Amino acid sequence: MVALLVIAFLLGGGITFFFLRFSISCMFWFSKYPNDKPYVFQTKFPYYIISLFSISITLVIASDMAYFAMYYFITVHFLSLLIWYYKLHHCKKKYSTVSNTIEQSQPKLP
Amino acid sequence: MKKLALFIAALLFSTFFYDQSIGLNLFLFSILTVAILFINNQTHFKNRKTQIYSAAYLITGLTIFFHSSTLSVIANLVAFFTLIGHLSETKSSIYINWLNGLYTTIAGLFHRNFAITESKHIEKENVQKPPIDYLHWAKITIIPAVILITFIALYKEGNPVFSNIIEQIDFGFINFQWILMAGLGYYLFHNIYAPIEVEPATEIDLKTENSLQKTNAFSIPKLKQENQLGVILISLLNALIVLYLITDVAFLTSDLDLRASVFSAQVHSGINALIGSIVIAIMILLYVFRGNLNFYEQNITLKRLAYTWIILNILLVISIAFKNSQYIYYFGLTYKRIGVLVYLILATIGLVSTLLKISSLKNNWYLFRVNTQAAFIILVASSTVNWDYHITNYNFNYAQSMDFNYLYNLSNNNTILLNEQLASKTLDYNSEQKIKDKYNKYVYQLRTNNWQELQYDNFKLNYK
Repeated sequence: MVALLVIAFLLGGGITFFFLRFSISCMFWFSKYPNDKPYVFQTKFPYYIISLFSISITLVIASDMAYFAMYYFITVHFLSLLIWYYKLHHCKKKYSTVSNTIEQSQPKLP
Repeated sequence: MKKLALFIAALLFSTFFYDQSIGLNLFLFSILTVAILFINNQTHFKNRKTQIYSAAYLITGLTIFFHSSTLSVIANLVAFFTLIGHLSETKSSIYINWLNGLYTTIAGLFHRNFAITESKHIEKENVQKPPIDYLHWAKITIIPAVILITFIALYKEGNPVFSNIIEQIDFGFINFQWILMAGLGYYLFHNIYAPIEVEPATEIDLKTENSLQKTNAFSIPKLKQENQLGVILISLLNALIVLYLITDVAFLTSDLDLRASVFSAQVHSGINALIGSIVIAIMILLYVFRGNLNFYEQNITLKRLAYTWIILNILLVISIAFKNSQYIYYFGLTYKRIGVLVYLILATIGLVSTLLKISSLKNNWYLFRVNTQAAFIILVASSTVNWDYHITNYNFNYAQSMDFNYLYNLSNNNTILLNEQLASKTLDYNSEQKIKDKYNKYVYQLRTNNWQELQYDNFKLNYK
């Protein structure tokens, strides 16, 4: 029973983490300047966190304010903040933009 | 000082809300929030608009104490976001206040402390924080605490009254969930004490003016054609609405019995269609007066026709209001029928603001700003009314007929009134039993309320 609980916890936690990590990465991928972290933070983070909060609160209300749902979505909220913090301060990855991947096929043409 | 205030507020938050239902606690929370905001944003509170929003927030909190309805809770929440958003940027529109208020409540702490902004980096480089002296903090907390506990133990032995007081202090309510709730309270107050803004949206809003500007695409032949189209379209619509209003007056002044019998079908199908027509009317006017046509010199006829159409639409609103009030008189007051009246008020505000937009060359943002502000005022004002009580009172004493089950299924806000009606009205046995059951359950609930859950009805019951 305990083993099953641990597996369920790890699986649920893993899927949640993957989903959050992926959705936050999307914010960078779809940004105009993905390597300009303050820009991504200012333009994407507020809408991301408001959307996530709205979905969470809707699901908590839909679950009739169940304790499990409340704890889960509180965890999701703080986990998403932690991932944003990591992406903004510690992540060294550089994103390639569309403008610098497209090479001119005939550079000599006017 | 600031941290101490936040810490106390967090403990109070958990005391108010942990394992409690809504009542006096939400009003106390409103006072606490205004106090925390006042401590940290004193200069903003000199602003008249801030004072009005604070008053609106406190009023919605108080209405929850008087009648705990879903509408008053929603109004309290919206007023909370409005006040916080307004403190983040006092010059922004109300819908941006809602966005900023929501953002501050969710992620204010993160935005202030973990965000990477250029100014913050510069600040960090220039200002070196002094290191925290943990030993000193340990000394000033642990030593006085130990000595205090020792003296309490000594004094307890010396005086039985003091001993009783000490023994009555019960911290049994504190458990893991209580502490977690306090943690959330601390997070919430830490978020809101210094409101922040969603920068791109606020910036755009501050830059967007209310007035229309002439664009470079100003072409007289094109505008002449547009003007002609507008004149023909709005003339025809005016003729149609006049015809409709004449037939409507004829219908309303026809035989009373016939009207009563067809009202149900008329109101349900007719009002929805008329409501839609008013929205479409506003949209057509916005389309016609969207750009350079406002600055075209020959647009006077078109403007007069538009004003006439708006006034005729207001007459249409009055006609719908009359039909709705007749319906209420015959079949009783319900939330849906009140909703129609609220919608008609909003539609009238929409029509008047459209008229002002056309006459004073304003843009669509002006319309949006005025109407969202009006919607907020109506929300706050309507939350102050105990609708369940008034619906029950009207249906029992003034309406020609009523649906008892509808009244029975309303919230507990009408329970005391229903019980009072038993003395003066004759009801069948089943209805009487239902009312007695509802009343007894409600009285039991009121009697078992904690101080956090107290409602005005508690005092009414005690007074009886």
